[in-house]
Parts: sequence; structure tokens; C-alpha cells
Amino acid sequence: MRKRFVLVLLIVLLCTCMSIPASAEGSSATIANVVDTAGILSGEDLRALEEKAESISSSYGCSIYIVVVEDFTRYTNSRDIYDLAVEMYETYQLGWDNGKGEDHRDSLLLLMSMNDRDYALDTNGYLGNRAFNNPGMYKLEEAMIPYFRSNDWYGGFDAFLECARDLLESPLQENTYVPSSGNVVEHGYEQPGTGSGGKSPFAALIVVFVPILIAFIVCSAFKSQMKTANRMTTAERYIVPGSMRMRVRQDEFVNRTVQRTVISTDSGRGSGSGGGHFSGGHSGHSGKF
Amino acid sequence: MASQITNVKCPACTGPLRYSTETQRLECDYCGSSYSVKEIEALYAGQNAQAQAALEDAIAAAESASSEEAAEQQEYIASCAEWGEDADKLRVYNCPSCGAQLFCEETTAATSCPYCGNNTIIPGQVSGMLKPDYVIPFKYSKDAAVDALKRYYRGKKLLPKAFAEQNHIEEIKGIYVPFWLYDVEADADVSFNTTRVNSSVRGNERITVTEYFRVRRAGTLDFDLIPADASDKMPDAHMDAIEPYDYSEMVPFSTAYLPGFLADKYDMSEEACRERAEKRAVNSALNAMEQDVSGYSTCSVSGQRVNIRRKKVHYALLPVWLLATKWNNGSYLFAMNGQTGKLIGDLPVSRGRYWAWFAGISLPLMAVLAALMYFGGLL
Repeated sequence: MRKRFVLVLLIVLLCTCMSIPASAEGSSATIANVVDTAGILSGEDLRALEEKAESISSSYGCSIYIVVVEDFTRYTNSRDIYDLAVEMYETYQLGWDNGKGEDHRDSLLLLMSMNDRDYALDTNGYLGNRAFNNPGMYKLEEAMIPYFRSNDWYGGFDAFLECARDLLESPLQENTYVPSSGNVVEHGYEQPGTGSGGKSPFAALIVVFVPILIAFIVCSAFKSQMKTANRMTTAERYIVPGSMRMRVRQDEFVNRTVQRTVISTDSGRGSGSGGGHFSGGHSGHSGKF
Repeated sequence: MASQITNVKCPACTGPLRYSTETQRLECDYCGSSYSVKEIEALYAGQNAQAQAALEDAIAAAESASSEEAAEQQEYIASCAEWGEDADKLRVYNCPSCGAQLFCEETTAATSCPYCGNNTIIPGQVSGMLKPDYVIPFKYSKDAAVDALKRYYRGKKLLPKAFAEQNHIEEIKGIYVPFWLYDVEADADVSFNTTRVNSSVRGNERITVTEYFRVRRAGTLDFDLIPADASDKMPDAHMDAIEPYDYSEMVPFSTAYLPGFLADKYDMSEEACRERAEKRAVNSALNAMEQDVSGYSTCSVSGQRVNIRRKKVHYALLPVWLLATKWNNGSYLFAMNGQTGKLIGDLPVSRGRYWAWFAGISLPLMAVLAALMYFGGLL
């Protein structure tokens, strides 16, 4: 409840403190397109990015947002930054109002949390899901993350906006982009109608090969019953009980490795799950920069 | 000249005696008399000694005879029947009851006369240096073996229907098979590469810590009575698969256990069979060392050394029922442990049944899965 209150405060802050309103004609967005509560952008950079984001939004009818916060966990109970991105969309009623209803407001939101260097990309609406489909999300990440890793915030946001423009320019193009980084969590890309289209062949493979595998295992078990004359390779049953005398028991530590993998805290939101845990056609990525 | 073989007959009626699996005594089917093993042993001790001496004399005579005489003997054997190359491995005995000539393999220790039906023992094959240390008497009869085979066919989903219906047992014989039983001590020294993996969740990260270890285990294990059949004509896989025998029922050898069954002396030396038994001991020692390594997520062997110290070797005759069948131009051999009743043997596989089962399992599953995925919106 307290977190919710903080989120509402953030909304008020975003609505009142931003010098440039985002409500372009036709848009129902109630916040600025670029919001920096962490103070990583200069006023000049902020204005330049805002203008660019607004221009792209109005040109293509898809609102583009950049929101930077100090610590996302102050605004949500979830431990997943993507949840805050979705909550923001719902609470702010973000997106371009194209008159097809609230669930069809096209948008792309980049939310960044500076403390733990988390980010989330969330898109919504028919156009949003076509332009920023899974390969599109990878393209966005590929464009902006290298800048963020070298703390070039303006460069990263600018690259993000440029890439978003390119993707909106050709939303119908079939994208076969393969990402170079695997440290990313995908959100909700398997929802029917979002245009990813990768589920049916996989499901068909399951339908064919899983029964074949089960039949093979069962028939192999039947077949093994037919051959029982087998050579013995061990002599466990001839070990004299209590005869084992251990002479050496030595366990020597060699080294240690640590591997960190980004996970989704909501198990139903992992890649390929396609569950109904989110509404309104949300899909997106989250990870570290 | 004394006969080289002994017919074990009923002292009351001179009918053939046989060892009964039910009563564990020697019984006469004609007069119903029954005798303990010790009684028959004592009764036939003299005859067996004479037969043993006669066989030893015959062998010595054959060895000292000129090559021409030996060739004549083999020629005679070959002329009596068309044995071909097997003639070298045959011996001719005269049945002391009916005088018929018995052609036996050179390893045969017990058989029966096909003419008069008397159970016959060749004491020279199982005495002196060739005398087994132990024997495990038969506990299952011929009828029990036949029943076991019928039960064995049941529940075999891929067995051709015609096999069980049409096939008939061509031959069934109870044989005391010669086995070497090895006592060994295995000293193993094994090195392993192991890992211990701990995984925890912190924030939206899964942190996996993998620790690597070098582990060494060394120790000694004793093995008693690892069996290896000492008969060249017995398939090793069959003899291995009917294990185990209950050694607590093993008794000192006596020829009185043999009447009614076939018996062979060994034709593979203790040295020739040793490798089989020792290989099993090595594998078990390695397994024991690996089982001693615990508390790790993965474990792989990086180096190993096992030394075998040879101890005693025992010679025993163990009971086996062999059942041979023919079907569709193929021969099928089944073996049953004559002490425990465990029956094994390879059966033919019906390709039609195999694919029928394959389709019968996979196609309905495909339909159900497809329906579930379709209605679940996944297909």
C-alpha cells in the first residue's frame, strides 16, 4: 500500500515537474515523454530527447517514453522492474490514443533504475507489438546498452530513439535479428496475436515427438524383457559383508566459479510461457545495463 | 576288466535310482525305496573306486599305445556314427547293466544309458584331482522347469503369438555345470574430479556457485566365491544371468547327487576363467570407491588403479536346467537355475507387434496432446 502511494507520488511528480507536456494531439499520455528523476541528464539533453521522442511519437502514432528512476523498488512491491513498467503504463494510461480503446494504446516505454542498473522495455498496442516485437527489442538493446555500459546516458537514449524510429518505419518487416547478448529476460512474447509466430511449429514438434519418444521408451522396455541372457559385469553380491577397509579419503578444494543469471521473478512470465499474467497486449524485455 | 562307469541301482530291486528334488533323497521309481545320499555314497564307494581305477588305466593305456592303435580307436568311433571332427572329443563306455556302448563327450561325468535307462556315473571324471569341492543339489524338477518356461512366455508383449503356441521343447536336461568359484581381494585407488553446486536467488539474479574438488579414495574389498562357468559349451551369458546361487546350501561333493542328471567335468582351466571373475571384482571395487564419494553434485573418474590379490579357488558343480526349443528355423536356449528357479533366455521379437504397440501408444498420445494444445490455444 505504501509502495502504491509512492508510485502515485511519482505520477504526480512526473505530471507536475516536467516542463514539456507530452499530450500531443490524439495522445492520451499524461506525462512527459522523457522523465529523469535520477538527475543523470542535463536540462539541454533532456529537452533535446523530449523533442525527439515527441516527434517520433506523433509521426507514427506510437508514444515513446524514457523514464529514469533512482531505485525502482521504491515504487513497486515486485522485485522485477518490468512489473513497474506495466504498472506505470496502466496507472498513467500511457500510449497513443488511436480511438480503438484503452487496451490498444500504442507505446514503447524504456524504464531505467540506476541503483542496480536495471532496465525494462515494455510495449503495448497493435503497432507497438508489431514494431517492437522480440527481434525488435533485441535491436533496441543492441543499440542502447553499449552506451549505457560506458555511462553515456544521452548517447544511449538517442540511440534508443533512433532505433525506435527505424523499427516504426517498417513495422511489417519480418525481423530475424539474433541477439548477441543472452543476459535478458523476455516478457510475454508468446501471446497469440502479438505477431511473434514462433509457437505453433514448436507446439507441433511437441505433439509429434513427445508421443514418439514415450512410445519408443515403452517399446524398448518391452524389448528388454525379451533378452534376459546377459553377461554380468560386476560382483557386488559376492562382496564379503563388512570387508571394505578404506585407506585414503582425501577431498581437496581446487577452485570456485560464480555465475549470475538474470531471472524473472514471475515464473509465468518467462520466455516461451505465453501465459495470461499480463493484460492489454503488453510485451517486453528486462535486464541489466 | 572292471567297468569305467557305475550304474546307480536300487539295492532292493536293482531298478535305477534317481536323486529326487522333492525329498532330496535317492528314490527308486520301481519299488518306491528311498535312500539318503550318505547311504548310497557308502554303498557305492567300492564300485566307484574300481571304476575310477579302470578309467585311469584306460587313459594310461591309450596314452602309451602307438599312434596306429590310437588312430584305429578313433576310426572305430567315427565308423560307429558320423561324428566327423567331434570324434576326437568322444569316449566310448560299456553300460555295466546292458552292455550297450555309450558314446559320451570326454567331459561327461554323469549320463543315462539310452538303452536300459540306468543312470550312469563315470567316477573317474569327478575324483582325485578332478573331484569338485562342492555341489549344490537340484531343488527344481523337470516339470517345474517346463512350467517355468510357460510362465516365462506370459506377459511378453512382443512375443510372436505363434511362438508360444507352436513351439515345443526339443530338449530338456538337468545338468550339473562345472564352475570355478574365486576368492579375491581387490585393492583400489581411484581419483575423481567432483563439483559442488549451490544456487541461490538474490534480487532478480540467480547466483550459481560451483566449487571444484580433487577427490581420492583408496581401500580394500574382499570377494568370496565369484562364479565363472568352466564349461566351454555353456554360453557364458546364460550362466551369468541365472545367478545368484545360495551358497549356504552348498555341500561337499558326492557322486550320489548325480543320478538322474547329466554332469560335466570342467574343460576350461581355472586360469582360463579367472579373467572373467577378476574383471567383475575390479568393476565392483571401482563402484564401491565411487559410492564412498558423497556430498557432491557431479563426480567423474580421473584416474584409477585396481590390484587383485588372488586367494582360494573352489571347484563346484551347480545345477542348471537347459531347455532348447526351435521355431521358424531358429534355436532358442533357456537356462533355469536348478536351485532358485530363476529362468532366463532370449525370445524372438515380433516386428509386427513392436510397430503395433509403437503406433498404439504414440498415435492416441499425439491426438490427446494435439487436442489439449489446440484447446489451450497453443496450437
